[in-house]
This record gives sequence, structure tokens and C-alpha cells, in this order.
Amino acid sequence: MRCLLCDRVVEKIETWTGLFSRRQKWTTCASCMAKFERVSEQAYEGIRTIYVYNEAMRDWLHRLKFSQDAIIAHVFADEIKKLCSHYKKAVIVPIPMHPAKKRARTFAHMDVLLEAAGVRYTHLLEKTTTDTQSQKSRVERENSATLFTRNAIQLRKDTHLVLVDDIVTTGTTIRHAHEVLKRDGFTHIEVLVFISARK
Amino acid sequence: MNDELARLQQFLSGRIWPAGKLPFDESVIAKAKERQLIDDVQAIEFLKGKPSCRRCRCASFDTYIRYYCAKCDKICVYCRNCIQMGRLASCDTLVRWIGATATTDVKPKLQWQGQFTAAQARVSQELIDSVRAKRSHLVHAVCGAGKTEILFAAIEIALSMNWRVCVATPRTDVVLELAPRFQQVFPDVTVQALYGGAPLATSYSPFIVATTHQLFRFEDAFDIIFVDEADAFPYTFDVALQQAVVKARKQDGVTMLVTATPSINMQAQFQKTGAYSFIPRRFHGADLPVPRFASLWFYDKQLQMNRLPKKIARWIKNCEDKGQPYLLFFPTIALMKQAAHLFSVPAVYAEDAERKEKVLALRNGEVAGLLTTTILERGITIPRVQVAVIGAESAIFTASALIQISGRVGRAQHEPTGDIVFFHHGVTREMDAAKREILRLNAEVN
Repeated sequence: MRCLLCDRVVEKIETWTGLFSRRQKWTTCASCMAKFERVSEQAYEGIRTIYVYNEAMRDWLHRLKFSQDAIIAHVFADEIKKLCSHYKKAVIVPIPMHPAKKRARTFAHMDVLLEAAGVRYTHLLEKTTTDTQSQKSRVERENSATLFTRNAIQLRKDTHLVLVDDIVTTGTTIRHAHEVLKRDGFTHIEVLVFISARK
Repeated sequence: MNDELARLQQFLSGRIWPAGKLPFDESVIAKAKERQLIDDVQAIEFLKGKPSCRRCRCASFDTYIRYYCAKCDKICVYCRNCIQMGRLASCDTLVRWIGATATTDVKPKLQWQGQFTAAQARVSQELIDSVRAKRSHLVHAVCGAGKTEILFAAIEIALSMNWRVCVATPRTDVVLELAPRFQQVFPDVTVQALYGGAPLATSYSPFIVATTHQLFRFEDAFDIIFVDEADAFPYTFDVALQQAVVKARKQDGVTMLVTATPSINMQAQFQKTGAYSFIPRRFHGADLPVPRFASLWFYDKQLQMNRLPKKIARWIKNCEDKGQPYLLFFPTIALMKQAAHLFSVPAVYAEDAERKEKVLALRNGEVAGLLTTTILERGITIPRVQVAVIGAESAIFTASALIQISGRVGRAQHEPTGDIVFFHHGVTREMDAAKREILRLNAEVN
């Protein structure tokens, strides 16, 4: 088996669980995994972040989103699965992509990430604009009009929701999504973001 | 044909390029399509149900990834093998030029006033004969035999017959070194250098110097391909390069292979047809340095316990006393990093950002030596360098790797000898094979 990121041959350690559970097809070598750095303390209020946006993470995100190498979503499959299993009976709500942009990229990276981990999710939001946050200045971001609308899927208003996104920089995207859901009457909303741009 | 179409023809002749990524206007492409000058092909074909990338022809099943494509609303397949040149999926198309190919009628003049040794002159003539007969040829030359010069005359003849010529090599730094040298001796021809990140030239060139990966962008393009891998260590004539060569050359095209370590099969195959040349001597005519074996039991444990084995310490001291630069090869990056603090010299490895600077420092004599893994700069022709391989029994040190490492020693004219020592935890067959081969090469002449 080869490492997804560096293509070096990885010897899988045989374990009893490995023997009895379904065999994992995609692996990442230990030295590649060690380059990702975990968040030591949460830098955003009300947002749970997992990894720091360092060189390795930038590289990985670039390969996933712009080189469109969808399979490297599997690098964090175990991690995401473990994280999402903390939220019992919660509905996972990924931040959506605009349909036109999704067609251009041929996949939505958040959906692919969650699918790789085998996590079920429900889209409750729809993206209304095609412009990306990363191309705007800080002021533009914070003053931008609504980015999302609620779609037609109806849930009980006391459902525990977990908003998930790939990266948080100023937090505008998350704030907008949070507001839209809150205005619709949802009371119990948590936020889980994979990468924190603040150290 | 108007100007724009002519430019498209110049660029696209022999190439196979992703649709929509062409450096031309949409209108030009539409016009060419209308006149049936270009043709669309599916980027990932399915041969008997198995996916096959039209660009890299990768045969491994693992490189093809199935995913749910939002553009087509169905399962599509993409190829991971050549993804760094832009992803190709089964819903993408590639463009080929199917009209008449571009030609140039330059009369190349070889401008080179070098002196051949007797062996070089002989092999050069043999290559010319093979080019004239249009048959593939194998040149087996030891490290440092001066093989680039041998190609000059053969290339001149191929160009004068209006052939399209390619020199392929696995490494970018080799392309960067070779292209200017060829340009210098063929001033009438534009030599196009193609490597990852090279500026894209849209003009036609009959003479291309390219890396393996850039060769994937061609199909049925070349009449003759020179594969130069004599100094391409640690890449050997691997499957990817072989496939790229077969794909990029024309159906009746030929391959001229220059290597220091041909496989036995290859050697036998070319010897049968007589298209085989052999230079067992370096240009300075001295024997190749023969490696010696020195036992170094449990070197990995000693290094892990932060102890520098005495034999290595003594060897280094010996080099330093004589003022000779030295290279220490390690089997793995992990072991090298762990042991680095025991040595007074810097360590280099493939991902090292300061790799070039460190090698330059050794050449300039600013540092006494270097620790390195198997991936080492090609330009490491350091006069008087001494080499030690630590853990020569490791699987990574194959016979050809060890021959190439030994070839680093004694490349200079005035000091053609040096010490090459394999420190080992048990002698392997690969080590024996390497030593036997070097002895055989020396005996060939004596």
C-alpha cells in the first residue's frame, strides 16, 4: 500500500481489529501525518477547530480543492469520523457550495470529506453567491450581504445541529450560516471547523 | 491556412493537449475543428472495462480513482499518476492535431571542436550507423565516460534528414544542463527545453530536450528519442519513462538508450541485433575505483544510542587529515537525521530546501563533507571526493545504485582514484554484484 500524500510504500501493521474489520484501502504514512499540527487552544469563540493552517495543511487543501485530487479527503477520514461521533443524535450540516462552482470543481470538498469518513450529513443551506471569501478583503468580508438561504428540508426546531466547514479565517461564513439557521428557529447549534487560520 | 491556424499547427503537431487549456483563442480552435485539422479524444479511455489515461498510459489500477462527478451527475474516473500536469477525468477531452504536421527545413551545422578519445570516436560512429539504418541502439557507458559529446554527430544526421529529435531524461536538472549545451553546438536550431514550470513556447522545434513527464504531452511525435539516464541515478529506466518513450515516438521511430547500468535482458536484446556499444573506460583512461567492504556490525543500534562507530570516525579523520571532501550515504532519512548531531558536517536529503547551497558549500570546500541519502545532486562531480556507504546491505542499495554511488569517486582528470567503502552489517548479493561488475569493467580493457 502507498501513502496518499507522498506515494511511499507503507507497511500496514496487522492488528486484530484490522483483521476483522473491513480492510482500509487508503493510508497515510506517519511522517506525512506528523506534519499536520493540532490546535493547542481555541482561537475563535463558539467554534471548535482541530488543525492549524500550516504549510502541510495549505498543501493538502490546495491539492484537494484546486488540483481536484478528491481521494486525499481520505487522509483525515478516521479523524473526522471520530470527531463527528462525539455529537450523538446530532445532524451534521456542511457549509454548501454554489451549484455552478460545484460543477466547475466537479465535487464539493466538504461533502467528499464527510463521505470519506462515512459520516451522514444533511444540507439545510444553499449558497446564494458564487464569489469566494478568500478573494475579499477583511472589511469586505465582514460587511458582505447574506451568503446563504434555508432550503426546503424541514426538521424539528430542537434538533441538535452541527455546522461543519473546512477552514475559518475571519469567521464570516460561519456567522452567516449560523444566523440563517437561528432565524429559522433552531435553538441548539454547534460549530465544528476543521482548520483554524489563527494560531 | 491563415496565420493563427499555422501557429496552432506549429504548437500542436505531435502534442496531445487538454481541451480548454490550449494557449489559443476559442475561434481558432473552432475553425481548426471545422476544417478537420484537430481531433478530440477522451482523456480516460476504457479498454476492456479497464481505465487507461490517454496522456500517461499508466497501467496500475490504483491510480484511477472513481468519484461522483457533479458536472456529469454520474460516476467518473480520474488519473492520479499525471495529476501534477492538471487533472484529467473521463469527462475531459484531449486535443490532437490530425492535419499535416509542421516542418522546418533548417540545415543544422554542428559547431563543436572537441577531441574524442578512441572509444568515444568508435561509439559515435556506431551510433551514426544505427541512425542511418534506423534501428534502436544501446550505449553502455561507465559513469564519467563523456557520453553527451557522443550524441552530437548522431543528432546532426537525424536533424539533417528532417527528423524530429528528442532527448529525454528523468530529471529536471539534467534538462537544464543539457539544453544549453545542445543549443551551443547547434546554433541554427532552436532547442526547446521542456520541464515542469518551463515557460510555454508555442513555436515548432525539431529538437526537444524534455523530462519524462513532459514527454507524456506528446503522441506519435518523434522519429528518434535519445534516452539519457547514465547520470540519472536514482531513477533507472523505469516503467513510466519506457511508456512515455513508446508513446511519444512515431510508430516507426527509434530509441537510442544511453545508460551506465543496463539490465541483462536489455543488454542481450541489443547485442543480438548488433546495436550495442560499450565504453568501459572513463575519459581520463584510469580504472574505476573498486569498492572495499568493511564490516560495521549493529551500526543502526550504535547510532541510535548516540555513539559514533569507531570505524566511521577513523575514516572521517583520515579524510580530513588529507584534506579530502567526503560523502556519507545513509539508507534512510530517519537514520540520517537521528545521527546528524554526531557529525560536524551538514546533512542533505531530497526535501531539503537548502540542498543546492549545501552541495555548493562542499564543492567550494566550506564544509569538510556531507551526509546524504540516496537522492543526491547529479552535478556532484567533486574533485578528490571520498565516499562511504553506511549500511550498504540495506534493500535500497541495489547493485546499480551502488555502482552509481561508486561512480562519484575519481571523476577528475588529475586525481582519478579515491576511496569507496561499503560499511555493512553483512554482505549482500547486491554488494557482491556491484563489486563484480566494476571489476569486470576494469578487466575488459586490461
